[in-house]
Amino acid sequence: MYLSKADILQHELVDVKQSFLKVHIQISDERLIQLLKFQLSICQSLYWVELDSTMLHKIISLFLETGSLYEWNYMLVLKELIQSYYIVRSTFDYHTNDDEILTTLKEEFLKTGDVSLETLPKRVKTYLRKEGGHHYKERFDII
Amino acid sequence: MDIITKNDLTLFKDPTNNIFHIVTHAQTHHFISEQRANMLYQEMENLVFALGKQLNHNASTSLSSHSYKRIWDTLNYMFLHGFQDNGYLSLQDTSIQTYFDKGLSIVKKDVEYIQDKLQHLLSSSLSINNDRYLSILLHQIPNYLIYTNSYDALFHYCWVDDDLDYPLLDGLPLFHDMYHLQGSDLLLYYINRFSIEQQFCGCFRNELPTLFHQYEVQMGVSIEYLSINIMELLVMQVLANIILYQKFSVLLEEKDIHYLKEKLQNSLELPTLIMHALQQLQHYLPTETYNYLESFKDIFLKKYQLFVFEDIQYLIYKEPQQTNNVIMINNEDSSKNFLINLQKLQSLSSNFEKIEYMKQHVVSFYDVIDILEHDIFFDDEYLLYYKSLSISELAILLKVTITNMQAFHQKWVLNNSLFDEFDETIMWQEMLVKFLKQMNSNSKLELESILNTFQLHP
Repeated sequence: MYLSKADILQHELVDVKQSFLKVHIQISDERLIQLLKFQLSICQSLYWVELDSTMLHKIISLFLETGSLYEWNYMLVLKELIQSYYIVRSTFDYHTNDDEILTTLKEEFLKTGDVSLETLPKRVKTYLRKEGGHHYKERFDII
Repeated sequence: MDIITKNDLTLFKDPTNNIFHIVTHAQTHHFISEQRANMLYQEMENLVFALGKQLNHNASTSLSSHSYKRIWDTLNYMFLHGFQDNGYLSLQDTSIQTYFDKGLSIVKKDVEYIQDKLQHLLSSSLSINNDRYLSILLHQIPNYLIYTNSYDALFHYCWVDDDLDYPLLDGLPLFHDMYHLQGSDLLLYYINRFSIEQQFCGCFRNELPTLFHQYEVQMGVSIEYLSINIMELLVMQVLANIILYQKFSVLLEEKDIHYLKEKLQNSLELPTLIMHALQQLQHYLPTETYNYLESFKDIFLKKYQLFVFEDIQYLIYKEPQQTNNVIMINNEDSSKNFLINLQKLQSLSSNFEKIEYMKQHVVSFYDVIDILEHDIFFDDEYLLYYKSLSISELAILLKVTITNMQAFHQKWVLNNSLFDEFDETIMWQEMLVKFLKQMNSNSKLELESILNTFQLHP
């Protein structure tokens, strides 16, 4: 059966909602769309493009599992985490893969929780650089 | 010409034409259903996703917007190549992947052809010391081919990084927009024309060095750094020879120019005469080259009209060597005593002695410059030294220092634009500018007139 693009998005949103329900958080459609739009705007501001539409779900479910997200702070923290992920992602090239960045982000997040989120990208970058990450370099010339 | 018309990609001529546009067009004109169109859009996205992962070595699903654009460009480029012979109806049952693979194989074949052609061009290259010409053969085309052998090869087919800045007969493909072509197509088109031009120039292999020497003498500049089309230069010469003597050669004498001008001025139908001469070239050239040449006949006609009626100098001829007002500077015995002179100068303490010594023992002007570079004077002492030089000595010093004023026989004027040519971070040049600015107007005029009368022959 063929699914249109809107259908696929709907499916994914249902999946994301279920992940939230696992940690007893009721999330409204508007808030989910807000997160999606936030992901898009962060990518745009970094001149970055996400090809995988399930990436948002991946990030959200990873941090919901940590147990540090609650009804009263999850929007704020998730936004910070999404932003941190893309800042780090656009700094390193393909020698550092997505999972490696997510795992490091999670570890660093667990060290301090939601206390010093603004230094999170910096800490993750330092760690990954020590692990041998290469700086991202534009590969094509476009006039 | 067959090869050139082979890749006549009419699809590319329209800038709005891309994969997305084609699918939308097919849908709105009911070649395919809406559902099928949606499937194709979905397939495009899946393909872009796969290509993106390939670009990232399967390590990441996100990439920069530059790379994202390049992936779409690649998809578009390959699709158009695969699709070009098919109708919209074929979109009903053929997937984009199929067209993509077909396009890729076509492009790969083109690149192989370019590789062979380059080998051929290199083996038969002209012995021209022209920067742009050599850069095309040794850097720009090989650079593209290197990329097409790398891991990212797939993403490099659709774009030529270099400028391809040796002008062909029809001009420079500025920002690659002129030919409405991209990537391998642009290079294929360019290299075909380039090879025809090289083949033409190759006919005069033996006469080229002489001609370029004459060019250098006449224009005051060597062709090394000029961005000129060599074929254009040669065709003008050949036409003149054909009109005058029915001779297939590029060399002319000074008297030929006057004779030619008279002949053309008196003839009633200049265009017919030129066209007739062009047609005679048919006997000397391969058909391919002749057809190529003929397609640009208007350029030559226009140039000949300018040459005859506006008196613009397009032809190169053997000028009698100028013997008066030429100063030969020889470099040979200068270096022998250079070190001794320098050490002696450094040991001297008074300015008067230094200047006297320079005047008596340092013969070559190149040595003078070398010694000045060694900081033997300080600040105002330079002014003293320059003041001791005669006007003609000063003129030679200026000509030796600023060499690029000889090109195209430019006129020397002592103004700020000339002073800008000096490197003012170097002490002696800075002081020289200061000295020139302080000179009174009479000696300035005298210096200018001397500068414009003689030539240097190193």
